[in-house]
Amino acid sequence: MTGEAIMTKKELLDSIESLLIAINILISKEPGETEQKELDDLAGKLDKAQNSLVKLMIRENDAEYMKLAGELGAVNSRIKQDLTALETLGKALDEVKQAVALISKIVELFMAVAGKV
Amino acid sequence: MRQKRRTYRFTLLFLVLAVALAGCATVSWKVPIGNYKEANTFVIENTRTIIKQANQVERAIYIDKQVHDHSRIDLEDIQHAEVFFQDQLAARMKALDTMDAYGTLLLEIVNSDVPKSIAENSGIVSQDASNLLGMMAALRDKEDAAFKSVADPAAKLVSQVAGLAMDRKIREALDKAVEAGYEPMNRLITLLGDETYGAYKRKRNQLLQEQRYLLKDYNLELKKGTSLKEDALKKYAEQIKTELNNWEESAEANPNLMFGAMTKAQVALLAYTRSDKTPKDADDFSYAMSDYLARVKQVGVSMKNLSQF
Repeated sequence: MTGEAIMTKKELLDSIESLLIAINILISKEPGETEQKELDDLAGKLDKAQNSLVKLMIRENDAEYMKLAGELGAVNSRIKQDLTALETLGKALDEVKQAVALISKIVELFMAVAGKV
Repeated sequence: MRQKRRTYRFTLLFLVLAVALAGCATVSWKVPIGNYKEANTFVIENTRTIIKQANQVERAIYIDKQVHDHSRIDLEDIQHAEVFFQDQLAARMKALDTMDAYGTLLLEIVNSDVPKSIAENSGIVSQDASNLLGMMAALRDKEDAAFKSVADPAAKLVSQVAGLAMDRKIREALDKAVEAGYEPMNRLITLLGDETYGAYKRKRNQLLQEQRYLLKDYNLELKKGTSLKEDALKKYAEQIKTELNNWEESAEANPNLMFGAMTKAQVALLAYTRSDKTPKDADDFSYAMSDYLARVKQVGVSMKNLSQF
């Protein structure tokens, strides 16, 4: 634990949206074929993560979420970083990848707690 | 018809608390209370719309992706993508119906001196609450733990108040509503607010997906060089403009703005009931209710537009 505030499901949804916006910005810069494929893949992962989170908001018990979210407070600040301010496409893509990996991990953990994986 | 009538008569427990504690619904109350009632109607109807559309949004996101990727459309995958099971959706719609009918009944109890009419409407509310309890009993235990833990006490409270009103025990019905009603109803509103926010975010995701595909189409056309078709480029550009406008407007449809305004109005109502009810208190209360209605109306228009994007 790092003393970070616990990220709520709503905040996590906001973080996912920020990343999806960042991906659209990167796509508008006409990336190469490989990068474009990667961006598509990341957008797909974020879509799935967001879908799973909304399902968890609807179907899951908040007490379980809060317990797990407390343990995951450390990742909060990293996900919240402003990706749109990054300068180069390559660097931005790396940052997006890292953030997506973190979000995917959080959602996987939530799903595991919920007995869905 | 019943549904339509209810839509225009929704109010919440705090309304009753405020009116009851004030003594009666005098002329000076009518405008702010009317505003409060109308604002609540907007909140409940917009919540109903956005929750109802949640599965449609999931299907659109999935199907558009399949088309974009040139993949087949698998009906099982669609089912997996949907966020609400049908029984869950039905339970939420029934919860909204019940809140609506309950608010109407409480308003009638405070404002009407016709016990027969109150008793008749109590029967309808009681039936709604029974139906909601029945639907929740049939929901999957694990997957609906949060909803059941919130909606169950609310439905039981409504059932008890309606039961007292049916027996024409009006004073007891009001006492019950005031003493035991605020917390369960507010918890239900908060939960529905969170679910609505999730559905709203998915709708925004759908808009981002459309933007993304159009940007890619535009870039693809650009890469054609000399064989580039000017008309196609312009068509994509126009579509991108529309999508960006929709995106911008969708920020105004944030349900947090609506539920935030509702919470603020409830605090103002409570403050008024606890005040000395001076003319200034009355003015502050009246202003707060006008402000609530104005804010909710503004969000409501944007939410309606969003549902059509």
